[in-house]
Amino acid sequence: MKSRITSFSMILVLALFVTACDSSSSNDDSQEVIAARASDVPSDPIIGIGSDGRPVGANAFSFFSLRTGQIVASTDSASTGWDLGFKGSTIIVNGGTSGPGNGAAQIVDDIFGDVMNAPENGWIQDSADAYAIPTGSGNGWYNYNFATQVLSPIPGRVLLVRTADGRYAKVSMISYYQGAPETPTGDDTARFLTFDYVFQPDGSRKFQ
Amino acid sequence: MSGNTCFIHRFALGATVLFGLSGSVLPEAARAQEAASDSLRNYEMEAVVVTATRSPSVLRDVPVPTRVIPAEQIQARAALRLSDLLAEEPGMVLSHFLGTGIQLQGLDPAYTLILIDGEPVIGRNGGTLDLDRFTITDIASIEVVQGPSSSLYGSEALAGVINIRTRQPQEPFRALVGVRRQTHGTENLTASLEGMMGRYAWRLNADRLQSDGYDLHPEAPGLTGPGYETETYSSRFDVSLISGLSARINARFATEEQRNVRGFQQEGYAFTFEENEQRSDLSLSPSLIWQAGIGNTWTLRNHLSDYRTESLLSGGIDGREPEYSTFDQGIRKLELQNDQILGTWLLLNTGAGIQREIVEAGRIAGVSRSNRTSWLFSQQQFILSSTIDLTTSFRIDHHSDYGWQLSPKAGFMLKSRETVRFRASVGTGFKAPTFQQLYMDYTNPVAGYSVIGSADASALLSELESSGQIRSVMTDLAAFETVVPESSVSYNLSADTDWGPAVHLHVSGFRNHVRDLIETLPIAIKTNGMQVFSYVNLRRIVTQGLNAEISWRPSASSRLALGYQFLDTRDLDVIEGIDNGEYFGRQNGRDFRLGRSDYGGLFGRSRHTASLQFSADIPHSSADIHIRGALKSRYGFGDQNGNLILDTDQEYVDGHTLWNVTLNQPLSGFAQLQIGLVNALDHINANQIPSLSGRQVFAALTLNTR
Repeated sequence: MKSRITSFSMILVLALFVTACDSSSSNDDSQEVIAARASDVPSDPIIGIGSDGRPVGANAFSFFSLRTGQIVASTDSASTGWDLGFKGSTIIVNGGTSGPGNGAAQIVDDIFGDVMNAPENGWIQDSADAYAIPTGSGNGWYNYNFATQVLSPIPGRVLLVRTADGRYAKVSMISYYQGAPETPTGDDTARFLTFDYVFQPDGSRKFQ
Repeated sequence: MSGNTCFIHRFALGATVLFGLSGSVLPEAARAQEAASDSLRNYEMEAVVVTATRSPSVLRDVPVPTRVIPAEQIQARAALRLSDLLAEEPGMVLSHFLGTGIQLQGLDPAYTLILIDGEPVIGRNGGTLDLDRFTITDIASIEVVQGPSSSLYGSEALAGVINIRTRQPQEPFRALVGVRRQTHGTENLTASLEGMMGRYAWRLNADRLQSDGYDLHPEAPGLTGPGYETETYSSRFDVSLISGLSARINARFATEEQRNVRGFQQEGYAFTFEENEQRSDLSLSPSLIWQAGIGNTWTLRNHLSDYRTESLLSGGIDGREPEYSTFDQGIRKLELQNDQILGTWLLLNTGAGIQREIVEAGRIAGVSRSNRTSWLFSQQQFILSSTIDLTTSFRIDHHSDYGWQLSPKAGFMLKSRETVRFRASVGTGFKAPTFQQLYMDYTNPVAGYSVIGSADASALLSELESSGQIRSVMTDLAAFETVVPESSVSYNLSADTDWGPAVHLHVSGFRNHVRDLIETLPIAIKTNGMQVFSYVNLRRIVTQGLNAEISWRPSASSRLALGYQFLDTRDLDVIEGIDNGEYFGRQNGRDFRLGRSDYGGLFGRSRHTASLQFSADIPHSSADIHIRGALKSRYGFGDQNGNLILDTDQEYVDGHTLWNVTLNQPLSGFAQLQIGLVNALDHINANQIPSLSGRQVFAALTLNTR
């Protein structure tokens, strides 16, 4: 009887040790950096021809969460559940005038893989004057070629993003067209964004 | 030859041209006599040219390198239009953007001045003068001067000047009729009359050219090259008044109509439009020439020219209003020039002029705008010795919108031995801002941007700001100025020599620094989110290269000419950006920094171009054959990878060579049959070179009284 209680207690203690050592569920420190490619994220796709004869979409932003890598329903737009909003070629962050979160962004010219850390300062939130990621060809993430009517991401432009809950990510835009064709033409279906991103869930500014 | 006699010899030939109305010994007749002689096969070097120095000069001794395409070559090659003819010349590259233009020394067609009988041709679209507008039936010769000539001609003569000299009446009476048929339903009818009676000489030309157009993309709406109908009427009237005083009047009227269906894709949706465009061109150039004494000539020139386009764009979406737009440009020019010989060592050419330019178009702010330019130029050709000539010139222009411009130039020529010439020059050129850049206001409400002309930009922005419509400005409004002309400094060096009686060699090098190139830049954002653009002097480019040409005439009627040009072009701000690591390329989704060796220079420029011209009599017949080839190495087409510069292989058009062949057969003394091939090897590149329609065949019959 005594030996049975002793072995049972030992098993219990052992079990306690084993269970006590499991620390992953409540603390984020050991989570890995998420590196993924988001493909064909709709960005106010064309649904018809407007009264002036030009193609139009629904004129609504699509919302995306970098943590989950999923589109967030537009009914949740007033929440901190999304990090980037897309409409056509415009990108907004969940901060400033665009959303309730702590989102911000800045742009750096560098090779995507070489950007090791998010900077400490220089974060811009969307305001009534301008978005953190500027609009207009050449100002933000893309160049629009009037001759070929093709919108291409600028090579070497990296978008640094602070998410709605204050985490950091880096984004490299790959294509504005559905299927991310190698050499897009004016015939390709536009307003489907493909981009690479690296998201650091542990709250630090390191991307490794 | 001592400096004295050489100079008088040169001037005497020049004087002969000025006195040419009297029908006495004409340079062309003298040349024809010399052509028969075996000992001077390079007689083309004895032709008299006028463009380089705005006064007559023998080609061999002209201080600025000039190329002449003589009448026999123009007639024998049977090119359809001016653009086709110039494309066969060494150092000249056709570019097709808003019209067919000529690149000289790697510079945009906007930087070459085109003249007809010394007067400027207007009607540029985005800087390009469409050389498809000109048929060649009334052309006597074409002089091409390479290198900056703004010190004589003012704006646009930055890369060079092309002067189309029309035929001077030479026969007591001549009538000519020609008919030509070519692939794509192209038909050309020409009629020409000329005569000389006593103190009068006159010439009348009528020309009609029409084509059905061609289609390289049958699956897309409309034709790649639209059909057109062009009519050109030109006339020339010379009269010798009292002794020493003569008058001339040139008149030209051309009209063209083009109709096409155009379609384009946007965001995956297809739109088609019907486009009907008409353009017309009218010019009148009376002039008065007074020979005040030996070595003293006064010329008063008046030039009136009007260019008008009308276009009707309809279709697109049902119920949409057709868009009708007109563009009207006119110039009224008056110039007085004096040419004087002082002693035996100085030839002085001085001139002054005024010009009023009017433009009227729907998109011009205020609908109608005008400006006034006045100028003074002076050229001094010093004969320092029998072997050295020094030529200096300068021109001062004043424009009502952008103020003063000074264009100096200096060059010298060394003659060592009778046929060797070394020439070197440094000069400046400028190109005035276009109407669009100065006055045009345009708003695209859907795409959300406005472009305002630079002349009004500052005032307009201040107005908008005080009425609270500006959200933010990107530029210091107080410092924002009207754009100034784009300007250049150029260096040219050349050597010409004969190798025996039958061979002529030419080697040259050039370097052009062009700055203050005008670009559109956003300058403000309105409260409704719309971006406002205007024009700023921003870019700097360099073009440099080497030319080599050899021409061999084994007999009076055979000729082989080979030419080669090496060209290097670059945008200096891009080079700086590359050196600072600001430019990237992308391969397989990975970005990398670009180095200088990745940069291909300016778009549309081939590093290597070459030309071949061959003429010969066909043995045992009276026919002759003319074969011309023009080679272009690969050139940049457009940016593909988003960094706006030429870097990856996908951004180039493959190099290619185009060949043209013409066979001439005289028939019974007063008629000639010409047959030939254009683009004989049928080179087509439907996506990147829409102007090439493939092989074309033509046949032409000319009848003239002789």
